[in-house]
Amino acid sequence: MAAEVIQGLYSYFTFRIGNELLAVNIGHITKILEMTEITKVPNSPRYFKGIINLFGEVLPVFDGRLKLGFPEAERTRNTCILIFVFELDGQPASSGLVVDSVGKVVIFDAEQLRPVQQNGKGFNSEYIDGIASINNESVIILNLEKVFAEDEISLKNAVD
Amino acid sequence: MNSFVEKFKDEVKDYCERLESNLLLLEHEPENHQVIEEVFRIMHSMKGSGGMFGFDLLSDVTHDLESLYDIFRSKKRQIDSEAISFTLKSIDGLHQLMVESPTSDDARFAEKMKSETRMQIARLNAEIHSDEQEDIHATRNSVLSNLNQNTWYISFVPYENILKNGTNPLYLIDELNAFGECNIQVSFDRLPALVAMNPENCYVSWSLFIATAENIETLRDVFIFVSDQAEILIEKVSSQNVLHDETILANFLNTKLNEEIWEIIESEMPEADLLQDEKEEDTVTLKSSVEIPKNSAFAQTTVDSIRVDSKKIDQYMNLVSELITAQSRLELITSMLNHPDLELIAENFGKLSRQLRDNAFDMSLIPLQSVAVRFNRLVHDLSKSLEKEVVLITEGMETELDKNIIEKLIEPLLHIIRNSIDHGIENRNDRLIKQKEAFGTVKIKASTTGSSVLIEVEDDGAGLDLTQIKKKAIQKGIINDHSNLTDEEIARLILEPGFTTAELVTDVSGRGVGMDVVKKRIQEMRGVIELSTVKDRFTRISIKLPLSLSIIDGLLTMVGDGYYVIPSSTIKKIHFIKSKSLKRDQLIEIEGAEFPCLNMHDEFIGDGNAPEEQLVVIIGLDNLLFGLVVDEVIHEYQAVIKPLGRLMKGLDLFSGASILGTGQLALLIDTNKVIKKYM
Amino acid sequence: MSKQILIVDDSESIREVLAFSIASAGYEVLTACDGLDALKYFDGRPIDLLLTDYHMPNINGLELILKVRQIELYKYMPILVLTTENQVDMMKEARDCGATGWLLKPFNTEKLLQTLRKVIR
Repeated sequence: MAAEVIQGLYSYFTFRIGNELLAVNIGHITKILEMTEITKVPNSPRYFKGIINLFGEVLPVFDGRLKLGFPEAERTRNTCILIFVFELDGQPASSGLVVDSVGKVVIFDAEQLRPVQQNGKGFNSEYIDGIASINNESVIILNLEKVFAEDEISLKNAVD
Repeated sequence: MNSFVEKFKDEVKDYCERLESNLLLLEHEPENHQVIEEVFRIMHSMKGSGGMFGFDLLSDVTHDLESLYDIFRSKKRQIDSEAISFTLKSIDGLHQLMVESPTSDDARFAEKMKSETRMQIARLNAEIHSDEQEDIHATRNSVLSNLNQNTWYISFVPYENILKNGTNPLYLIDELNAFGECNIQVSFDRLPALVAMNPENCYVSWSLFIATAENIETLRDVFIFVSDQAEILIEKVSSQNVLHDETILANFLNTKLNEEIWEIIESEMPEADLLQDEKEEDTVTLKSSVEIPKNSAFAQTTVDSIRVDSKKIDQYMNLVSELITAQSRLELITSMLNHPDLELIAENFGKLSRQLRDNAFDMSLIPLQSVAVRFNRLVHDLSKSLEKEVVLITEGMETELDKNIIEKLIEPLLHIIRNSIDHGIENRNDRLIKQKEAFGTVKIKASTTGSSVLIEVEDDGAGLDLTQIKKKAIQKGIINDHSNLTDEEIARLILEPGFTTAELVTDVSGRGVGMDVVKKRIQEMRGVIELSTVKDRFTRISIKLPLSLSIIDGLLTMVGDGYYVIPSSTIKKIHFIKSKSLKRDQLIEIEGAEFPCLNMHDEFIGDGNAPEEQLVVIIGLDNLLFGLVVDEVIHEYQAVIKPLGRLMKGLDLFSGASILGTGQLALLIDTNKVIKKYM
Repeated sequence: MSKQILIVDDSESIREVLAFSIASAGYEVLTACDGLDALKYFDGRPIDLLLTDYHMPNINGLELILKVRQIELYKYMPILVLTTENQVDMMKEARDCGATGWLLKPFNTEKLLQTLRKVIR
């Protein structure tokens, strides 16, 4: 399953974690799954939920809340897994992120994206590509490469 | 363009392999002209396409190599072993020139290769020159007799449109006529009625007998421009001039006529036995293992294999495993629904899926034969440089292995062979003193047993010097004075890191990987390596490998609600134990042996709810024993292993996951790493 | 009257080598530096052989052959293409355009004359 990042799109897909409205470029999204059984992997960090079988491919799944610094919460019937593809050392890699609910596809032109201010919102501003707004609500555009970049290392550290 | 370049690089690899095997063949059959032609052709293609894709250095160097082979091709001189060795060396150099933007170092390297090639050419030309004196005598002799002449039958039937390219067929007949005495027949059989005739067409055809000293290539060359515009047949009638023997000529024409009739009949029958011939021969020696059929030029034109991007195969394998997973789900639901029609269909579907899986699996396997040429090559090179006569015997090279395994196996195997020739096989004098054959033998034998493959490399050399090894190991602190080791255990010491058997590190095996790295590589592939040796008789290294990296025999176990697969190859024993009787990191004692263990329930789950009765799966690595305590052993299981992906590279207890029939995942335990971590 | 051969090549050195070897063998030689330059010779004068390079600026070898073959007078004139690539495709392409044969670079004089003799006498 050679999913690849599609570059140059202006559409974004929104989803919610806690009270935050987040979005990623649609070129990064390969699938939206209902919550499914996740196989735990012993001796791994808490934000790493485990692995799933996605049509014969084994994918890691992260807990969006823990990963982005939100408090842990019970799953609801809106809980979903977003499957992303992103570049890791120049190669496409896939992983899943558990989110509270999914939204819709919106289009932002480049001028609609504002740079991040240090907002003290609780999570790492490094993860953010920019801020846009829908109906006066801020949408945080995530930079997936940055979000997942350290996991290769942090998984290892957690085990050691 | 880039994909063309990649294709071209693949092609070059292919070319090099073909060159190697052809050259090795030439070593035994220097007079085999077809092989020379093939070598020449390959070099020519490399030169042409190398230039086209911007590999100018490659193109330059092959250009000179091509000139070198032109000498052999034109039969000015027969190829000799110096030239063969030189070319083999140059092929290695060619790989180095496969760079798109060469540095000045590369350019210098290419220059060096070129000047070496030119030296070879000069050497051969000098020899030709000295031969020419003798040649003058030879030509004089041949003028006196017809001994050098052959009689050929040539039939030349131009297509009607041959004139449109400006070809004058008469010139070709003229050209032939200049080669020797001819007996020419012109046929106007195809001439149509005058009204139907197109004056721009050619309706004439020729058949002739010619007695000449020229060879068939020269005769064929006459027609080189019209091979696509005429039917041309050249056949040898006799190896003497028989032009004046009417009976022979008439008989020949009669048999021709008969053959043509037979051909028509046979062309409608399947060519079953042709295929069978190739599959036979289990035991092959160096010579026959690289032998290609005499008519290889023709054999290669039929398409019996296609080149498929290995990514596509991987993709195909993935799809098939998805299918298998879907199928086991179907089976599960069918068993719950209790619907007879559905059951029948599900059963059939299951059978087909399994067949498809086997078939897909089969496709990702390639025969060891595909790398055998590198063994031959190494033996050839080493026996030359070490001045030892060594014969390589290969057996079971048709044994198939996953291509990923083969790729990873090459280096270790080459290293073992290198060791065998360098350290194992004695020099000629020593062998004669020991009353052995003057030439040493290295035997590589492969066979399939169940879901694993056994590869043995055996040399009939001096064997391992166990006393010496033991002394060394003590010196290096690998074992202590009091270690009480069996012979086999002593032999295994050479697999330990930091151990080198050679008294002096030779140029050959002293570099690159040591035997410890060989062991490591094999273990990484979940393989097992064993040694046996008898002084002055042999050393045998046996490697047992799984057929595939993606499918393994494993034991499916359960800990808490999670499934874990333990590779069967590492399992020694399974015992029941009371969970109360052990704590984490405690030593466990079974049948008088004491060894460390990992209570997976405590370590992975840590809820203190382990069942009262657990099982300990005892795994062995080298001479170490280690216990994995699991809650439940489910059954033996052939697991399709999926990689965990790059994000999870950091996980060091598990090396993959397998999808169970229910769609659930089981983690594959990396026994090496577990032992390292918890020992 | 001796046979007239037209040599077309954009490399001056190759053109000169060819002209020299061919003239020494007793043929008359005309030269042109590319396909366009060559076309001026096809004005009705007798040309017994066209020897043309493949890759050339303006009009390349194959285009030249296609154009020349359209002129009735030169319909059956032998044409040889100079090429370095000993590839079936290339030669087939040349043949399809109307070439009689080809001459592989690099060549020596002997090989050159031998090939010429295949197509003219």
